[in-house]
Amino acid sequence: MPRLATDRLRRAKTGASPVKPQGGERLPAGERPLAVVHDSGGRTLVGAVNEAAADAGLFQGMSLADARTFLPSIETVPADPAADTATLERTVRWCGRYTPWTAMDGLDGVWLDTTGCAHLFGGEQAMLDDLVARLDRLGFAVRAALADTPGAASAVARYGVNGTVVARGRARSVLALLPTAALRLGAGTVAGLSRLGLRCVGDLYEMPRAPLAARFGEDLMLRLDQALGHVDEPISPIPEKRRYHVRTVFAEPVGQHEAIVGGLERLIARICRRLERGGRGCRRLEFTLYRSDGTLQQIAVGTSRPIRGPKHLFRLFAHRLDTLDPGFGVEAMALVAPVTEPLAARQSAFPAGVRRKAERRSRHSPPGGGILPSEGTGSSKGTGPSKGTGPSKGTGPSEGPEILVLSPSAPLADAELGQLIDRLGNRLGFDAVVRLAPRESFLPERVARAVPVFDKAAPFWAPAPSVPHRPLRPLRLLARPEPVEAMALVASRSATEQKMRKMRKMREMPVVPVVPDRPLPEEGGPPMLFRWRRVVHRVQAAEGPERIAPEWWREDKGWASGSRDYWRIEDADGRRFWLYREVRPKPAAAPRWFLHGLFA
Amino acid sequence: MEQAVSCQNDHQGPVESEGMRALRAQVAAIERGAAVGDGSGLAEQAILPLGLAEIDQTLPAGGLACGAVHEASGSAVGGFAAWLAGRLVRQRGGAVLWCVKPGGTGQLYGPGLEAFGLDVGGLIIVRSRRRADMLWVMEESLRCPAFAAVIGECDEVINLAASRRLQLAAESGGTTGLILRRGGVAAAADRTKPKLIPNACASRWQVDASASNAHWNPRGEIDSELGRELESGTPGLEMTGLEMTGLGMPGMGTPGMGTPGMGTPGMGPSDMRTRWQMSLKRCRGGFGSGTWLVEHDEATGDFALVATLGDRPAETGEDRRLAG
Repeated sequence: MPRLATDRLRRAKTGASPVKPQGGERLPAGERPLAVVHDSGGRTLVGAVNEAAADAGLFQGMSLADARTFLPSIETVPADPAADTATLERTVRWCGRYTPWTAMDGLDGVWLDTTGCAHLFGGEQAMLDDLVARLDRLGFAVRAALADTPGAASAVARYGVNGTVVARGRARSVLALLPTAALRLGAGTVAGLSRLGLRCVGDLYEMPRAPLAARFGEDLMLRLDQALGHVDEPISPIPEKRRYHVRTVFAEPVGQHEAIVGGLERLIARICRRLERGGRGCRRLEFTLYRSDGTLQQIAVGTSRPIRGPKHLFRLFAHRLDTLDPGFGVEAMALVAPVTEPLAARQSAFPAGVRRKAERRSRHSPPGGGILPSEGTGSSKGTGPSKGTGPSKGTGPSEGPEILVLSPSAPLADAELGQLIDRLGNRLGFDAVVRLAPRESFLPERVARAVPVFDKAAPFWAPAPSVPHRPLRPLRLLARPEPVEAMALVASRSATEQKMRKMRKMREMPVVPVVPDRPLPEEGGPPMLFRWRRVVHRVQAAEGPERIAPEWWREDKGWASGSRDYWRIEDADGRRFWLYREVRPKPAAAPRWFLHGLFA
Repeated sequence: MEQAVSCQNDHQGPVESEGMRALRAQVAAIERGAAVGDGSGLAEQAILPLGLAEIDQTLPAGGLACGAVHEASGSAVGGFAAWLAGRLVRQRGGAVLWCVKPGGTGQLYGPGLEAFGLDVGGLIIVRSRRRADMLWVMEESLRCPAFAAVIGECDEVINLAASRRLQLAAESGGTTGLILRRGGVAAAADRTKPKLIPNACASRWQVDASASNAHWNPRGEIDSELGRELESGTPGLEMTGLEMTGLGMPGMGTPGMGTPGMGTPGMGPSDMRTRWQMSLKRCRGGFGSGTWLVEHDEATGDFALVATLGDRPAETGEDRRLAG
């Protein structure tokens, strides 16, 4: 390549990379044949194999059944593509020690653009050897090559001699002897070429281009030209991982509250600008004071969803700032966003409804919303200086409206809701600010569960039916059913009367005996009288039973006792309870009743 | 400042004259903090009609004032709050925040709330153990106009200062607050002698569960279906439940019920309709107090007045005027 000497290097990892995420170091197990297997169209195929397995004749792409005939003792591990990719990405970043221009090549390779870097390591060959040796020490089997073009490097690394440095301008002759598959072609193309007798890359050099392109597509010619350097192939490096960490060092220790507040504001503005450049929002912010006596003071806030609005973030800190003790002075302070999430840029146009509401509110509300006295002072102290001079005022990240969706039936366009949730969450804990998410289940306690308000993964509650249905379910559900002493109608009249007499004796309650004039089945009716939390309730009306059986496909300790018959019970005062009786009590035991919910 | 109170008060003609109305509007405007005559665009006070003509007549301007804080106590406040919040959401749109006190009497249960017409999808539940936290949550949330209703549970009395703060927050946010004083089921001792400690709530209610006119009778009059089966001598009561589990399908309902997990009951209208005794104890700018017996209409989800008022004489218009 006449313009710039481009050296590329390619490293293929076989065998070591899948073992790596599980074992860390190269394991002694590496001595034993090992293969990573994955399912493909009903067959189990061998992915990567280690050296021992490769020596026995196994190769990537063969079926596991074939592999076992070669090597019955082979050990197999299911493939984990995500871990492979993560390992590869770490390797790509590690390769940043040689050149900043690194990228992933497919699923098992690394590109390094070593332009202008090789001399730092004693030349190209020395650099390549160093790279191979270091990765080998890390437990990776590496095939590496260095050539003028990415295509040539890739071809030589995978199909040529390991550790080759292809001298400038020699790519053509080196490639000529490699199989056509080295050009990163599809399997179909390679097979087609070999049918025509074109097995080596060199065979293609002399062929007329147009018929080849017509028959195999432009891709073949493109790959060939890329390998030979006729067509430039840029490498896009993986983006640098941004770290969101800003700090300020004071010329001399400061102790005033105002200075700390002002410093925090500047740090927040800086980190927010940085977050905006990175297209991210923070979920957590940690503010650390380095005191002159060598100790630290730290406060942290969390948010319910990614944000980068400086004013809102400052407000989250505001009421915690009073807890900071500068001691004998603060030398430095740092603000770190350890947890960030992608946050797309928003345009800052207000939907009409929000604007109207915001205007109405600003007219009515006094400035500086004091909540409790202590917090009110904190927040007003904080927002005061920022109003005029805040660097984020004009150019900083916009705090436009976010569209927050609580549920499809109640989409809310209000930035304030999100900010409110953050304030509540920081004071009460984010697990105390929840919404209800439905769950497919027959068991009443599993039907609804509490999830964080902005948990997008949890399903949304279906819109309320246009006509509310009957209150068949209680308004409140007890965390776990509580046993009640109940007296229900049973089959035998004498048994009922006995029980009733017994209970009346116990409570000295005037009980009007209601005795069925026809036999009821055993475990029959609703309770007539029950005692819950030391209060006796006389049953006035009942609806039921509604039988709910446990889900046999799940293990659930709460339902180990089997099916339940639920009754909606109204007592003499009109209060309503949700009681159930275990359908199959232990043999020769009285039926047990439990209270599971309240209708109020 | 001749800002009129919203005009849904056609049916209260005999109670107030034109002059009174103008005066009331003026007083209301002053109460909302506007200087007389500067016309600083006081939004007209929004009103939530309860859909019960007799009660709405007693309330100022024909309904519950929005942008204000109300208080309810009694044994049925949970359902009352869910019903009111549902109405508010349907009328004004927005979310509902319910600040609960964890422990004791269980957690809010979605399907049960839905039955009273509250859209559970738009509900945010906040758990706060301490009273100070609950007041803070309510005040913060009332300022947020995204909410249609903010409900807070509290066992203790909300004093004048705290309720005034909440009232101001509700006015600035245009949201409606509801303080629930649930004494728990057991602690209904002060029900007969409620102590009304003065506070700034726009209205104060006592909502208690009331016995429905259904009476359980072992002859099987709970449910017409069951009753018939019992009369015909089939061992219906138990069999209706057992049939379903016999198929090995847990929680399967009767075919045609459409509600999984539902057993036999629920066919046809129920006798056990929810009844509340609603008493309006205080109401700012209203026409006195009153007590009504209302019943849940399961077809529409609304409440309707029960014709017979139990052991209590119906209030006359004369009484109302005197009380106001």
